Amino acid sequence: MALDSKHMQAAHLLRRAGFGGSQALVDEYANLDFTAAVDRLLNFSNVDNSAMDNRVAALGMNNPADPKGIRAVWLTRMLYTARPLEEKMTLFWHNHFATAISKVNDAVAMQRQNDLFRSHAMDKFDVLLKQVARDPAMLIWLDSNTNRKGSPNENWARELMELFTMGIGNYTEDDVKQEARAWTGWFERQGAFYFARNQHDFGSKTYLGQTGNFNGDDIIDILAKRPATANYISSKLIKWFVTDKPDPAMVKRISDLYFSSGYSIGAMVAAILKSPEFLAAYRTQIKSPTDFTVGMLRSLEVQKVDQNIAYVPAAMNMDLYNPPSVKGWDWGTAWISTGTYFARANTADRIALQANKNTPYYIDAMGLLKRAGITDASGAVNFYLDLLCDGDVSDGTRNDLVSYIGNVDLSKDNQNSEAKVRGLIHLILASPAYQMN
Amino acid sequence: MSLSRRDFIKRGALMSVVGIGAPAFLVKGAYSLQQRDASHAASAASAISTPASAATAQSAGQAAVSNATNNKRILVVIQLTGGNDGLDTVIPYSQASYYTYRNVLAVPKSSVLDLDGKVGLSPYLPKMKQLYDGGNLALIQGVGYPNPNRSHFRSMEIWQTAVPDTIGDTGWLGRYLDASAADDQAARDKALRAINIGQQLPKTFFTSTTLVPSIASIDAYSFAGNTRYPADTQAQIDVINKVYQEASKRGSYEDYIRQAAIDALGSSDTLKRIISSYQPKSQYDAKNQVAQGLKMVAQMIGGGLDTQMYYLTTGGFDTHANELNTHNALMKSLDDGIWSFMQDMIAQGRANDVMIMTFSEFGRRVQENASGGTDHGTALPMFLVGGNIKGGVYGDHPSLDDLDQGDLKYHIDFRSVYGSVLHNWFGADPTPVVGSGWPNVNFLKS
Repeated sequence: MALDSKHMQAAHLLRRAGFGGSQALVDEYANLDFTAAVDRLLNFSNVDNSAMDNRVAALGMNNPADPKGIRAVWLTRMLYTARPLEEKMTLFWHNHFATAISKVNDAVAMQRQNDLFRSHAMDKFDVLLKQVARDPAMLIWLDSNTNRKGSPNENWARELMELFTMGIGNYTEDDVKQEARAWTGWFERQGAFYFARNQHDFGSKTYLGQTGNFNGDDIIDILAKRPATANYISSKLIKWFVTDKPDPAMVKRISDLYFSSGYSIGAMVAAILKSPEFLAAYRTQIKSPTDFTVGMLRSLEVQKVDQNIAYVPAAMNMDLYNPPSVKGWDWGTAWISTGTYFARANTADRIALQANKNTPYYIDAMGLLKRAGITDASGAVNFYLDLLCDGDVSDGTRNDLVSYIGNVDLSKDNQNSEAKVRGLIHLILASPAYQMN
Repeated sequence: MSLSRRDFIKRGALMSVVGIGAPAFLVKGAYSLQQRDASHAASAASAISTPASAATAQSAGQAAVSNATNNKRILVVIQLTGGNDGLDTVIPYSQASYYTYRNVLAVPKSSVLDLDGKVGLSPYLPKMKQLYDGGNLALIQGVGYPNPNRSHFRSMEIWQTAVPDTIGDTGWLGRYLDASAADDQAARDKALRAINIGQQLPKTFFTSTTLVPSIASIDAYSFAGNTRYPADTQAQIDVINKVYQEASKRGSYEDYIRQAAIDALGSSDTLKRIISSYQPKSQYDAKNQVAQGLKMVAQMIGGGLDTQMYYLTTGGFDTHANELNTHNALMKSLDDGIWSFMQDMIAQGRANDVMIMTFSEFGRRVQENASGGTDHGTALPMFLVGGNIKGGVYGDHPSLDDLDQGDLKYHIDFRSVYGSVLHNWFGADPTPVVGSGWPNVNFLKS
């Protein structure tokens, strides 16, 4: 038993272009034609998100300078947003323009950068780049503040080419040095971008084969036109939504679209989600710790989280707002080690066991079964397997889980049955099937 | 104590799916090594000068030391992530140009902890100086590779894989794990031959045949259940073990997850027992990440694991701005951490069995920048520490008056050091790992 193909496609779409969803949400998307389902996710700019805003407000994280607060707020957004793709793309840009609070040391600046990624998530790539080049957190992160005429600091100049636009191998060390001159005097001052005219090198630079009195915006215009940039950003988006090993023909297709659409991120994302490759990649990625955490909470219809959600993904090696380096996190199998396996299994335990009978709080394990009219062990196993991993497991796994319930009577709502069902949810979340996205 | 991998993997469905031996995802085929040209090797060989007391360099291809003498030997690799400023780690105070290129960051001659009348250690490495004076620190100068890459990520990958010219699938120690057990099924199956201290496995330990475990915290290294129902937790562990041995439905990544979980579930009890059975015999600063990582290593050694290789990673070395205080603090952490560990090993009677090796993806630009920092550079020094190390300064410090685009020219290829570690320390043939022809750096007492 597993989901039918319409539900599989809907669940896949919601996982990859968002963070999964409740049974009702999957049903809703499964009832749409697939293209229409993708369009519903894409056209989010007018979707009302006030319910999420209320949830965020209810967290009570009122100190904007609290590093824990910004993490809790973002995870709460992911959890309750009515615009899943907006949050997934915000996470994409956070991973792409990876900036760490450990160095920036300013939660307000980090939140502001996050807002920037959200508001420009589907914008033209060059527009986004020019905003990021002026972003206070980024200016601090890559030492632009001290990039002065006469003695440039190359940090931002190098990473802009190596990690943000073209990728390694498409420039020389001399290009790095020349480019750094163009960015001299681009400073952060008191939480805002500031152009320090007397620290800027207005002289002529020869950069990627062109000569001129380039400034930072000129550099971005040059970089945005490079085929290497089209190729790099296309590959990265395909890796994000589809597969770690993008097909060159698909990269070419999306790169062409990058140019024909005038560098439109939205157009590229739409084409990727509507591609045959996207559907073919069903459940072949490994869930990131954020997908793992937010995904289970959304699927299990958790009605309230508290501030302690902030560092849950961090325990599995993904501390939001604090990526390990400017390259962002390593994805795929890098999420998995013997150590992170226990971190995942034990996070699942922690979440599956949290309960409060009186208020809908964390997981209503028996309530979900009752609503579905399920009173027996194999029904419960099938229900939670479908909800959490599309029922995409072997019969052996199914039987192992039924044997775990044993002869506990699930038709009775008591401590024993509740504990068993929570234990079942824990096991499914700790199983290999749930790690797949 | 020796753990058989067979204890871990009850050969059930997983093995029948992917075939006896190794799961399919791990079998990446033969690695390709770029053979360097002989003339290059020869010039590098002539550049290595050992201390006056040291024997002349020998070929790394010479007959291996008997394995029997090496089977207790342990290698501890410390990766300094971000690009360590070698010039403010080992200071070439006798080269006048150092004080021309460095102003804010210059360490005054009077503060340098002199080693040989030419170079000296950072004043924040006093315990390394003590180790040097005791003949237990080998300093290898000017280590690098041809056409140095100044990207953190590519250069780190080059150091981790020891394959500079192509993207390698396996790490250098991973290939040693593969090669050293190529004809020995029992050895290949032995789990915990290597342990990574941390959550994420470095490419250095990527092998073709096994998955090296990663352990960040012993407390968290077990399967937790509902504490109100201990019997149920055991039932869960039994079920999850069975679930993980079922067949994968979604290919190689799912296989990978299954392997990691089976290894984790199989090793946690033993590791917990070993760690809890051993108390460190020296003080480790609770706030020092290097010290805490090395403390775990010491507990594993003391508890009786016969693991050959440990690896830990420490970051913060990418000092583009305001480097001075940051770098001093990093040096102090390294200094204190290594010292605590070596004191512990002496107390445990294992000082002669351990060797620490430090490395970083590159050194930093000779000229400091206007931000009181340094940009990405090239060659840098490596430290080898241990009771069996023949202390001294190996190789000349690169000249600051003969730079390549503002960066130091390397004298010793890092593959020479790796090959020497494998040959001298483990008595292994380095050829399958780094190729042949690398001059040996003869850094052992015996």
